[in-house]
Amino acid sequence: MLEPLSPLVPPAAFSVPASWASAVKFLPLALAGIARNRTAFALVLLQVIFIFMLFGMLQGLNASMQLAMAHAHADRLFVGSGGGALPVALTARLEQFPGVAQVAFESQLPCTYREPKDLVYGLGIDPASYFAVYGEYQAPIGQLKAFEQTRTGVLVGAALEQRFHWKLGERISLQCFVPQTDGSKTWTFDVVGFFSQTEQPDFSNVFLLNYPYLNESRSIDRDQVNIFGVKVSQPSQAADIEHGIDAALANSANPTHTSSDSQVAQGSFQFIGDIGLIARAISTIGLLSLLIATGMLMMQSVRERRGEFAVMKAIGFSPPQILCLVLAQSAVTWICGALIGISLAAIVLPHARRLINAEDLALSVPPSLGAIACLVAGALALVSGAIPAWQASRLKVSEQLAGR
Amino acid sequence: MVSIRQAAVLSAWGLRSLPARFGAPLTTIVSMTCAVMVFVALLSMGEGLHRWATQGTRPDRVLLLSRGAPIPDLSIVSREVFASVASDPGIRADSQGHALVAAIATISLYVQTRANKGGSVEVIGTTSPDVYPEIHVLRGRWPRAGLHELLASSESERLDKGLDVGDRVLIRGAPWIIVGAFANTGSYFDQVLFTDADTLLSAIGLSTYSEIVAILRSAGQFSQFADRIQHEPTLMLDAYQEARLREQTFSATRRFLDFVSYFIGAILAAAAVCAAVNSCYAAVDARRRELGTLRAIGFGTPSLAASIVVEGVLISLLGACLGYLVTWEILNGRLISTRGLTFPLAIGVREFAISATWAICIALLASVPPVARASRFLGSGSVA
Repeated sequence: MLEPLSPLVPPAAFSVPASWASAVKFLPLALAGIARNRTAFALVLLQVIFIFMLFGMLQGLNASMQLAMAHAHADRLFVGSGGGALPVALTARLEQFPGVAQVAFESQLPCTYREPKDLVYGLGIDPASYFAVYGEYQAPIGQLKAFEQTRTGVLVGAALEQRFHWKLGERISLQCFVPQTDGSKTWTFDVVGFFSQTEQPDFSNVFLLNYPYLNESRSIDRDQVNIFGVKVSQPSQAADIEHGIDAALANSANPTHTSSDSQVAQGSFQFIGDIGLIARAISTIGLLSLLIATGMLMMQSVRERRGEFAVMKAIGFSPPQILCLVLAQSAVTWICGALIGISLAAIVLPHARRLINAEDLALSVPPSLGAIACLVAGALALVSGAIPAWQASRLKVSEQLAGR
Repeated sequence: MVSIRQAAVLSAWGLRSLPARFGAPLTTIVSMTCAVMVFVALLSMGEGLHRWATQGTRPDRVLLLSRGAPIPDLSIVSREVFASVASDPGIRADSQGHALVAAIATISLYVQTRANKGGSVEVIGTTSPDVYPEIHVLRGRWPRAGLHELLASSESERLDKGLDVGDRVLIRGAPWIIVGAFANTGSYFDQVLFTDADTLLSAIGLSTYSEIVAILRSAGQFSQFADRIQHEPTLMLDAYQEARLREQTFSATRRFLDFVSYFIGAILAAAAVCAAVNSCYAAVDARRRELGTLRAIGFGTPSLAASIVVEGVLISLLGACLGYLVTWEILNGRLISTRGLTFPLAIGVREFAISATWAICIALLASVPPVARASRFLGSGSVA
């Protein structure tokens, strides 16, 4: 009767008091228990993997958005009109503001390339101030010079270059929604260089053009720009300057609506709604179903092995040791599944960016999430294994072995 | 025929013994319920958005955007273009002979109310209110040209936010007064503010409209009207029926919401398949002796297999129904906000049909390996 078990039990285990240390020593025994019903455990393991993969992806998405907001530039403010445009002349007014180091404006030119669905935005800018305010935008000095000297020149963002494969020196022709002075909506540009965005590479899905060319060629919205980027000298003063600008211009012809970089980041991710709440709700529901599934499986497993546990008790295993053995079995399933699931999420999530329209968001699963998942898995393993473990530890040897 | 009757009898027999072995089916039911709850909750966003976006559209109302503009935000329409479209013979005239056509300026503006700090609101400026016959002013009147006046819906939430008749709001620092409230339409219009088009344009420093809205003599005339517009080279406009443009405007969001629903739903469904396979195996193992006996007294293996499948499908469907009902009870009609839009979640027959189909497919897929095992031991006669 003892034969199938004896090679698995190290003799020393009998004398060790029940503790977590002995539970770890029982690992081979726990694995043997799992191996008894391989199909069932493999299926539950798969279930754990799927749920934790989902958990990892949702929480990873949430964490990535928090990270993007935390990375916001504390020394940067955006001055807009709250709808509509602002006059470019406001630049001088903003530059005089105490605490303001540099001001850059941009005027949008929405266009399409080849087909109506190939939407692309051009930004009319002044290169000197623009590259000074937005330090994360970088272009080779030579190309920047060429851009300044070529009226119809454009700097193409790295992401846009990947989309349309425009070459240096190429002359491109776009259909834009803003008509030129002669009524034509076909705009022609010369590609004189490329720029990259070092922090959020997908922000470079635009091209930069010289504001004077844009402004003098368009028939509408002359001397109007969409937004100002303001770099402040002291990040600690940013909040005061933010309110100061709006207050100073409130009664002018062009009242402004100023926001911080982090507010803008928050706004642009708002489309995913209250993702934190949704992620938590879905993860909770998924984990709940796992709890039931693993709990039921452990109970079935204990039921099938009643005789075995009775024998173990008969040869000296204490009830706490049996308890630990069953819990270890549950923990192995949960923690292995959680680790595999989170790893899969870490592989899949970076590719999900395009699928969920969050092209301006760098998605990744932070390593800390792996640790959190293990903790959650460990805790739930104890909960789901509690009843079966308690049942196994309270088995009456005489009853179980009576029929044998 | 006999085997079908056998299968029916066996299924009923099997189901009767379910309570005695509730553990395994419970796993399936809980997994299915959870998966369907999440799936239906996510689907309800896309469905709600679709219903809300297409609510209250008229087949005879057309919108004209500048050529190639996929959404009104990118469309630019000049006064000259509007003047030449306004005289088109296809446009209906009211009893006084005025053509039902208007130039529209649509813009999302930061509106500051006294109740909250402020937020982005879609403001529609129109040169004539006649193109929106469904807007019934309950109190007050339509805004007048040249005055900073607005018309808001009488949705109770908006009233609380300081958008009641007589309230003042700030747009670009200037005070505007709510001069009228219209009866709720249950559509997208309930969340916009109406005003005069030229007043709006001058207030925000723009000179061009974004679109033209017209009501045709009949909905059937749309294709002729669109043809005339398309072939007029000076206009450079595209004509859309209202419902189509509305759908197109929100289609990216809808696709995104549906994609997320199906992606998350598929992962949960995969987990539910695992649970269902396990519980089906457990059911077969628990009934090993019983199935063997039934086989021995003459029931066919196909009938026995069918009864196992039927049991799995019914359990799975039960879980799906529970999940659907719980979600419907909690979420149907609840308002959510995403991408600056607020709309009620909608859970309907379509969502039920999709989740029931998923449940059946999951159950069928999950019963394959257990049925194969059962046929093996029934075939070999090794019952014990």
